[in-house]
Amino acid sequence: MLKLCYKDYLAGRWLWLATSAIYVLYAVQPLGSSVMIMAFGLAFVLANLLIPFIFEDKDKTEVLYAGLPLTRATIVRGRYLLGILILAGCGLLVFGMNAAVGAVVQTPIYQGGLMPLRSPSAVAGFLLAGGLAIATYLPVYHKLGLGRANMVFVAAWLMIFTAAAGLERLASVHLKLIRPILTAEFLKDPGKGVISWLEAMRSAAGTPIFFLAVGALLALIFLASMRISVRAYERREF
Amino acid sequence: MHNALEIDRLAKSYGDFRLRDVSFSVPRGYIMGLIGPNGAGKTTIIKLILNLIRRDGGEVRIFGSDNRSREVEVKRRIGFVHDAPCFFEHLTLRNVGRTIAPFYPDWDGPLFERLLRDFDLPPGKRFVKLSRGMKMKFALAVALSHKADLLILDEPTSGLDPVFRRELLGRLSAFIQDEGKAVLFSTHITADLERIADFITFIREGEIVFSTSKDEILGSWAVVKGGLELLAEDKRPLFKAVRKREFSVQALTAIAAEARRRLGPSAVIERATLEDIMFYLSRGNGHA
Repeated sequence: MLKLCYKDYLAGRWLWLATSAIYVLYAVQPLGSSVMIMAFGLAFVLANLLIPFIFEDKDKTEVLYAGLPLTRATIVRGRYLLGILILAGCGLLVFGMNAAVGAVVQTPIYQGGLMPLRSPSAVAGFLLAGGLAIATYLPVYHKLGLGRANMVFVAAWLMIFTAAAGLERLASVHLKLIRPILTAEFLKDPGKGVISWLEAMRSAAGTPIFFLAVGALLALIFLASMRISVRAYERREF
Repeated sequence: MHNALEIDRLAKSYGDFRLRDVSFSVPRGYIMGLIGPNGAGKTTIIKLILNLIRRDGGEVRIFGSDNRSREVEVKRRIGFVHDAPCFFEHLTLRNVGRTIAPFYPDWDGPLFERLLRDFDLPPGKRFVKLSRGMKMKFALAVALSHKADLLILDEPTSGLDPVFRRELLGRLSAFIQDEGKAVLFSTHITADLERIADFITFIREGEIVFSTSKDEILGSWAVVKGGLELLAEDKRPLFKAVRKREFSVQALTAIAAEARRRLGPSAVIERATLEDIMFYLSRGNGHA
């Protein structure tokens, strides 16, 4: 599977470098909203995952690799491994940049926006969100191919954001049902809100158990997603 | 195991197209030409051999092993040249080689470099900058560099200049000098096959019309030219396909000797080329 990641590395390395440079430029901007930083970090993960797929689609190399001595299941597993490596690499850059910028620029905006994003709970949140995004995208990609998968995925995210906006509206009229979860404080900065939830869980369970649970949850999500992807990809015809 | 490739009652349907009970084999040490009009099913057969599409029925065995249950082992022995080679276009040829080499335990790096030199392919050139002929050469270099035992080529010579076509055919002839190896070569350019193929499989509308040795085909098939009397009831069974004009008839026969004996001087009988056979069987009014 590492061989598959290596060919993706050869194909996508310059664009990965370019997206990383863009992220670094973005991360040095004085951002106050932690949710923006988190959303951009997540977009960074997905963009990097898509780069090799875009090259594969443009150059039709899926046909080539499906003809090589590999099973479809191996090809799918290789893509999941690539997703994990990208998640880890992006995580290093995202949190590394947060730490570096936070250390250099000591303004109230940075402290307010970035401090919560440097906690272990923020790392867990990033891994869970990125892992979930990868695990939901890949089955759609293996079933529908790049073009249609991207349309479905974008449509799904638009629906999620629309629903989130709707929830915010509901919360603003103080609906009793959701008030305990979506407090006004949470809605003021949902990024920090999510991290606060995770922080509460980490405090309750202890850091080792919390991270074990995060790892187990991610493993379960990835295994289930990979199973669906393998089934879909084995049916794909080139 | 005598055969490099055995296909038995292969079937596949999609949309209006049906591949029906396709059976043929390619013995080791020989080149099999796969011919047929557009949409006949040649590429479908090749895709089924490579598991790029799922078969509905039948079997494909490569050096005795099933191409699905022993997919990895089987594909290590296949070198495939696609009609439109698909590699990462922005990479240099050397880097394209690097993306493929790890998947073949028998990849021979020095041989790959030597083939690039032999084919005048600069290793530092990007794939996208190559002409169609150079792309084909590169695909062939890749297929030969992992020491494949079975080469499968899908329309490799279409759109290529005669110089490279000859060079490619020479390479294929050299390839099968090792008698353990074999070639399956799909093409429209039947002249190429007349030059190098040992066996010919003709496919039309998803069905095999014949699969036999080239010498047998060229020895027994003929084009018969004569008057309208060739359409007489007692003569029609001689022909596989007939093309009628206002005052004359041209027909294809698979029993040239019998036709010569029965028609005598009333008809002109000429040896059929593979192109004639393909043309008449595709366009003539069938009768057999």
